[in-house]
Amino acid sequence: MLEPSASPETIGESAYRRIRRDIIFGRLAPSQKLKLDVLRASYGVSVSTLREILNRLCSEGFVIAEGQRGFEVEPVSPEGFREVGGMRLLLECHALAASFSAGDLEWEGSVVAAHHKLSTLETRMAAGDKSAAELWKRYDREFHRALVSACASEALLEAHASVYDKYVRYQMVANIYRGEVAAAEHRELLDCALKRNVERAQQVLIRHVEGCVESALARGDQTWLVRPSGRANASRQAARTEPRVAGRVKAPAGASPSKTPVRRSPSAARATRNKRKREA
Amino acid sequence: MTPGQGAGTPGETAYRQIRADILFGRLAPGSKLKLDRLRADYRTSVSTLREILSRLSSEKLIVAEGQRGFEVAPISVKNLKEIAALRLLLEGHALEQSFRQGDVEWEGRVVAAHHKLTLMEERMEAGDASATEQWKHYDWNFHQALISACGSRLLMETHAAVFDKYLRYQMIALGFRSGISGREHRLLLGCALKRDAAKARDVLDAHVKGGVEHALGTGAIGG
Repeated sequence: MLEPSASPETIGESAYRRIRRDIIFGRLAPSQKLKLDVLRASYGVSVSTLREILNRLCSEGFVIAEGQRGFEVEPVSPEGFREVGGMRLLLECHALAASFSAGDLEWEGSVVAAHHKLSTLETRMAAGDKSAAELWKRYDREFHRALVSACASEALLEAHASVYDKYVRYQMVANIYRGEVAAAEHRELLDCALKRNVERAQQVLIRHVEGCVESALARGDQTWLVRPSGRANASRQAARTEPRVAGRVKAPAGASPSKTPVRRSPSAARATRNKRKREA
Repeated sequence: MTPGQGAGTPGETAYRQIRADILFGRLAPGSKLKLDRLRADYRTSVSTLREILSRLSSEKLIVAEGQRGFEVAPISVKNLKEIAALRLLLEGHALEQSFRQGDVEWEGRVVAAHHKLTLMEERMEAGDASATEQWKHYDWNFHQALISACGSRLLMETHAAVFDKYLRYQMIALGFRSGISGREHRLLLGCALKRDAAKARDVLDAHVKGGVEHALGTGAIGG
């Protein structure tokens, strides 16, 4: 997750967090092959711990297992971004309504505090201090989290947290920065929360998320959709059967995304995961 | 419940077995998972087992107890209600999308899944309790078929994960709501063919809420 670790943690746990964060912030790029010996050296863990971590990230949807060959970072695609945005809206709009109606004064305090920290970082970002990007994203997440935190369903909060991190990855990978537009939407959300105006908050959120997704996809430069270079993927592509992966390979930089994306069916997705091979 | 077909590696097979044993209550909520014992029962190495447990723990089907090991995720009334509400949110939304976009192929899948489910329900009606797991399997398939044209892989996967947790509660507090769920499934089929998403959501609502009440009524879940 994006939050700092609370208690002392094991080496495996800390490596897990670092790898996860590196995927979310794009330092481990979409579709990048994850070589065990390379990762072992850079994260300082054993191969067996690493396999546990990658399996965990697989079931979280950040990594895919490539049959017997190993692991790679979950690819990105325009339809993937839309799905993640749609799922975030479904969960977050529902949670907002529950949270606004149940939230007490303590909750309001946490929302106000979270917004204060976020807006401070937004000001720093607006002043051109891009070194603050990671902290800014963390406060962004904490603000949205605070808004829904009184919804009283752990299951809903967990599902939301998981999709939120996928959403942040798209934002980071697509290098989205909407500056004052997003900041103004955050102020509106704060205002709605204090007035308990669920309907308006949902409308603002829809604008907030859809605006972000569509601005990323409408942009001329689609370089973030290009697979990393130097990757021998031709033979592997051919070996694969599921159309989604083939459909996700993007043409050279500047080409617009495919209008008719091919989608991998859930059963095929599951089958792919099931193909995962382990050495005993 | 991941469909059982398809050859897997030994690790994959063991993963599915352990997962199914949790969902079907053979590994009881809150019970300790001892590596030695699991290794013998599922015939895998400790390192493979650790990978499997790591996967299951990120699915929240098991929980780590500090450094000491793992146990099967406990159950509670609160969690059941949360899972049921989340299922309704995801499935209701997915039904709408799916009804709007589904084509004839999709209708075919729905009809076929319903037909198979009906046969299993008849066996259950006749008192054949040995069919329980298969019945649940076809129940899962029918609900998945209904939403399978929703167009979002992420939504389908998230729904599947939540549905499995819901299923675990059903298996623990099992009751075959004789007649009732069969009738609701028929209604859902009818709604699908008429593309009446609003009514389907109402039926689903009653279906899930009835299931939760039934489960709570058995007293098997505790506090």
